[in-house]
Formats: sequence, C-alpha cells, structure tokens
Amino acid sequence: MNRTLTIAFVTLAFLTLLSRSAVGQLNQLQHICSLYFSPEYITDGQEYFAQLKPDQKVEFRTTFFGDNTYRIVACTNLRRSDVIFSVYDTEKNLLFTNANYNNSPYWDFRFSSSVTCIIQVDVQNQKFTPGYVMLLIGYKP
Amino acid sequence: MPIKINTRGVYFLLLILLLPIAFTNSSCTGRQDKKAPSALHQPYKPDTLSFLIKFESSLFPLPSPYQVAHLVKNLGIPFNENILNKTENQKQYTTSLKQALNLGIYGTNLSYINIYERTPQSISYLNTIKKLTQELGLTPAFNRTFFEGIERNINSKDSLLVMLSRTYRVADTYLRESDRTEIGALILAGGWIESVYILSRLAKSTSNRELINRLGEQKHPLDNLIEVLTPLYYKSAEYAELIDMFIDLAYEFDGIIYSYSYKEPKVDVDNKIIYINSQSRVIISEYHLDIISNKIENIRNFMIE
Repeated sequence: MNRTLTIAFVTLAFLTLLSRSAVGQLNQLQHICSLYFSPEYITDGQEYFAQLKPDQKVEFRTTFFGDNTYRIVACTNLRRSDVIFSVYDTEKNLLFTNANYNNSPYWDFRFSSSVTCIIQVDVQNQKFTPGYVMLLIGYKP
Repeated sequence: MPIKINTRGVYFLLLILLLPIAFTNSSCTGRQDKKAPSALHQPYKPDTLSFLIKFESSLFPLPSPYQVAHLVKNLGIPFNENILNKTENQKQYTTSLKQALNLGIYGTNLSYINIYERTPQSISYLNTIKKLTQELGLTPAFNRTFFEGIERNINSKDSLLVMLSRTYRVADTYLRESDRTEIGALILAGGWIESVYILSRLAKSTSNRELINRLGEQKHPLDNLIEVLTPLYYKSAEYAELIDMFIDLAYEFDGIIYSYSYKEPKVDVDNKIIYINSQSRVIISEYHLDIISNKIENIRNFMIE
C-alpha cells in the first residue's frame, strides 16, 4: 500500500512538472510569435500550436476570403531553428513558401478572390530536438 | 523478492526524472547542448511522404466574427438590432453547453454592434459576456483587467476589436491548457453560427452578391467545425443533436457549385506581401440559399433557446 502511494506520488509530481514545463514553453512561444503580430492585424481568436517530432509536418486547411489581407506568423521555441511554412491551394499548387526567403517568420497575403489553402508547417534545424511550433493568423481590417 | 523503496530512494528517483526537464528548459533559454539528440531532422521537401499531423482541435473559423461585421458595414448595410440574440436570454443558459455556445454568439454580436459604434448596446453585451465567462470559470482569461480595458476603449472600435479578439485567443489557450477544449470548440461553434446567421439574414434581405458569395464559401470552415465537434458526439443527446444539425447543413453546402483556377502569385519581397491571384467562383441558387438560411436559423434557434 505504502509502495503504491509512493509510486503514485512520484508519477504525479513528474507529470505536474512536465505539464508546467510544457505550459512554460507555450508561454515563451506566444511571446515570440506576438512580436511579429502587429496591432493592425486582428487575430482569428485562436493560437495554433503543435509538438513536432522527427519527420513530422503540421498541416491544416483554411479558407482565405477575397479582397482581404492576412498575416501569417509561424514560430518555434527551438533555438537555432527555423519554421518553414508553405501555402498550397487544394490542387496542390504551391502558392508560397518562406523557405525561398530565408525562412522569414511572417508574411502578408493579399487575396483577390477567396481561396481554400493547405498550410504546412515544418521545423528546420540540423540537430532535431522536440519542441513546439505555433501559428497565428490575422486579417487587416 | 519485492523491491523496497525508502524515502532516499524516492528522492533519487525524482531527481532522475527531473533531470531531462531541467535540460529541456535550459535548451529553451538559450544554451544549446552540442551533444544533444542525434536524430537528424530531414530537410524540407514539399512532396515527401513525411508523417503529417494536424493542429490539435484546429479550426479556423473564418470569416472571423470581426470580418463579417466589417464586410457588412463596408457594404453600407444599416445596423439591424433584431438579428442579435437578446441579452435577457442569458439567464436561461444554465448548462455549460448553452453557456459556451452563447458566449460565442454574444462575442459575434458585440463585434457587430461595435463596428456600428453603438456604445450603450456594447456595454450591455459586454456585461452579458462577463456573466457567462464567470459561469464558465473563464475568469483567468476574461479577468478584471480585460473588462476595465474594454470599458476604457468602449468608444474606440478598433481597440475594442483587437482586445476582444486577443482575449478570445487567450481564452482558447487557457481552455486547452486546462483540458477543457470542448468549451473552446463550443465557443467557436456559437461564434461561427452567429456569423453565418448574420450573413444569411442580410444576404436574403439585400440580395447582395458579395454576402451571398461569402456565405457560399463556408463549406470548408463548416467541415473543419464538424471535425472539431465530432469527438463530443456521445457526451449527451443534446451534443449529438447539435452535431447532427451541423452535418445536415454540410450536406446542403455540397450542393453549391464552386470553381477555381490557379494563377501564379506575385511576391513583393520589399513589403513582404504575396499577391494571390488565383480566382474562385461560387454559384448558389435561390433554392439553396433559402434551404441553407433556414437550416442555419434552426441551429441558431437550438443554441439560443
């Protein structure tokens, strides 16, 4: 009984500290990302973050509406790492990748017509360590 | 033979367990361990078969409530108070499902009111939002500082929109961190349905092509929303009914004709702007517009009643 309680305590302490560590990393990531998100852009109300493991990319689909300008910010809390984000249309035509522009973390997109896009996010560093990536999207009123 | 664990042993075990965390944190704060993990990360290739993951509960509820409000105002359509959910209804929302859905709805309403600079109504809707956030235990995100800041900027529509959208973002993160993602999903669902409800009501009453097109372009956002809500299906009969209504609405969106033609984008490197020149077109019949509008209204009624 005593042994079970001890193991439970240690496991709980470990998980609590691990969770705090993750929250700390996310807070740090929020701060980094916000630096590129200037006040004239209105966020869509969500922060998109994911933990990346080797050989993983993050992907999602979203619709951008015509006659609107959007800002996409992608960042990571990994040191000496760059986030690469690429925007495709649903026919898999590459519309943009920041990989062609020194992996610069933010870009503005002016859509003349509404387009549903697939955004892929990847981290580039020579020695992979697990970490988080975050993406913010906002539009300019 | 059973293993005997004494107190010293526990401390030692705890130390062993904590060491990796200490190293993780040090790498985040600047020190890069040169002997750290050896697994090489593959360079980026757009068409590899790398394992893809999705953002947890990812959903871009575009157009955001703020975009809809801006669009409507820019088209010169007059303010219509009758399309909003009345603040008096808030008292009848006693379940977390209804409270979260209506927090999203009232947030959209506040954006709409704010764009039209209706200060007295803004204060009333803000107070309603405050009550719902307290009932949902969201005070860490919607704290006193937030409401004081909003009250100070009540006459500045741009500041209020920025503050409101940022706070919904903070709330979303707070809910994820506290394992209450379902509340975040419901807030989004409420915000989305109210946005498309406003769009559909105004599209029908004005026959404005831009509003009709914007409504017709909601297929993918709706698919995303259903994906986020589906894990909640078996929580209760009420959840199941709500999700079934969304699925039913998605079938109607399948009837809309959508065409797309790719055109090469142009990049303005100096200003960091990419001009996306691809063209899309939506063809939606009067029949479909009516059916979709009615189904949106039914879902909205389910939420606000």
